[in-house]
Amino acid sequence: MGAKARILVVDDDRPTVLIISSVLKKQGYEIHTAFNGVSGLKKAQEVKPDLIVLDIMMPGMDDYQVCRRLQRDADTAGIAVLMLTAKGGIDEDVKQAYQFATRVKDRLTGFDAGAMDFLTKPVKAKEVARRVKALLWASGFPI
Amino acid sequence: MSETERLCAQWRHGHFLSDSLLGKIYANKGNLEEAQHWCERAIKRDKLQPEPYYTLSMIYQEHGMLDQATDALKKTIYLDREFVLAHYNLAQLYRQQGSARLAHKSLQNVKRLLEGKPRHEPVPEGDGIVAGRLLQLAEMELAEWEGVRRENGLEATRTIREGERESGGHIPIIAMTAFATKEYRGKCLEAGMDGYVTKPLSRDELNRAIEPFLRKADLGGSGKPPRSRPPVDLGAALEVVGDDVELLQAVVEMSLEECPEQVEALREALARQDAPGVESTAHRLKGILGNLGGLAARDVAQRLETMGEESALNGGSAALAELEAEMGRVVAFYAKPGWEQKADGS
Repeated sequence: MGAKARILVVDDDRPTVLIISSVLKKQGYEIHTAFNGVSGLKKAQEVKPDLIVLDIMMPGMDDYQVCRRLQRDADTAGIAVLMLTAKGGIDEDVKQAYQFATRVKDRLTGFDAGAMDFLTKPVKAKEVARRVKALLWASGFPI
Repeated sequence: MSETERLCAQWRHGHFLSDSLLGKIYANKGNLEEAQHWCERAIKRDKLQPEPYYTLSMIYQEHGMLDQATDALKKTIYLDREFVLAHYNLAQLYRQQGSARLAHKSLQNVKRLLEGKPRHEPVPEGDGIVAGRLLQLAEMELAEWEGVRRENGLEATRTIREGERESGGHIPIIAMTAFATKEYRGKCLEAGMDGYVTKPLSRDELNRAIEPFLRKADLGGSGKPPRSRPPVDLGAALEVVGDDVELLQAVVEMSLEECPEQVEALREALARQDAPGVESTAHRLKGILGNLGGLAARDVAQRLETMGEESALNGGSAALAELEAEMGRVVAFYAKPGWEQKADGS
């Protein structure tokens, strides 16, 4: 059981990346970071993480695109994704729409998009640790 | 008589250049009367050449005729905007005449003209002065001058705030400076200033900076702006980092580095009436402020984000001013030493 889970944190908001990666490092995970969608995808193919923490609103490429590409690529299709959304703002609607869409789509097509969860910004250290652990467990990573 | 002098004398009839050069040579030798004569002759031949005006200004300066010297330098610059030594000498003249503001402007012209130029290259008309040396001189003088003003503004603010501690009340003070660094901004806020505008100043920027204070003063009646919410909810910030004060320190440092850039982008987006730009930059700031527990500032950023989303940018500049004021309070909170102890104690 000695294997460390590899986690990739992708967000253009650097302070948030610092917070999440510091918190998860303390939990003993192996952390990789990227600061935009494009380099996030590249890193995902490179390090093949067990879980990706992904911001939902990044300039250039939105989370839909990042997620879709992750799912399209056989190497990264099964990776669990923890999405970051902001409270109150428009992201809340996006989050609900996305949750609904993925639920329906998964049921209709039987397509396995990998485990997924949402986390509201500002993130809280304890919450991050808890959700990551649960998501890793849900995606079959031995804990 | 030197070789050059002889040649010039030979050619001087009909030759502007020789007149101008002779003027310069005589001036360098200290024969001011003769120098002035040749300069004036050169100007008569061709009144659109800058050099004789420049030499004349040196002669006037020797005679202590500062107004005439200034005038001649202005003409030099009018004819050749890149006559860097004329800018530099004009700065010295302005300073002697007590016009610090104009001196400052001239020195900035020197800086602008010389920056990026090869440092070892001689300056035209500079008698061997190289660009690097002149730039160094100009920068030193600028720094000295700014230093005097900086201390004054900060000192004055401290004195006023000290007085207020006894008498109560709070006069809003907004720093106005050409220094746009984060470090200096922190210094201003630490001294007790409420806001910060950078020069060159625009009327809009100034209005934005003073608007929230005027409104508060109108509502409250007294000079004391109502402070309903604390700038930072330290509990919320500690929850974000899991009570790791060191991590919070690192996050604060990184966030404060990013904020000015985002605020500037937001200001530009507002000026362009670029609603998606307002939305995304305000969103970004909202995220940064949320991590710091700056809840009041975060709410204003949220409001701006919604404005951008709904393409309703009316009142955007007022909201931006409010955001900057609230962010100023967040910065001031973390700039004040001792918040870490508060964090440990809670």
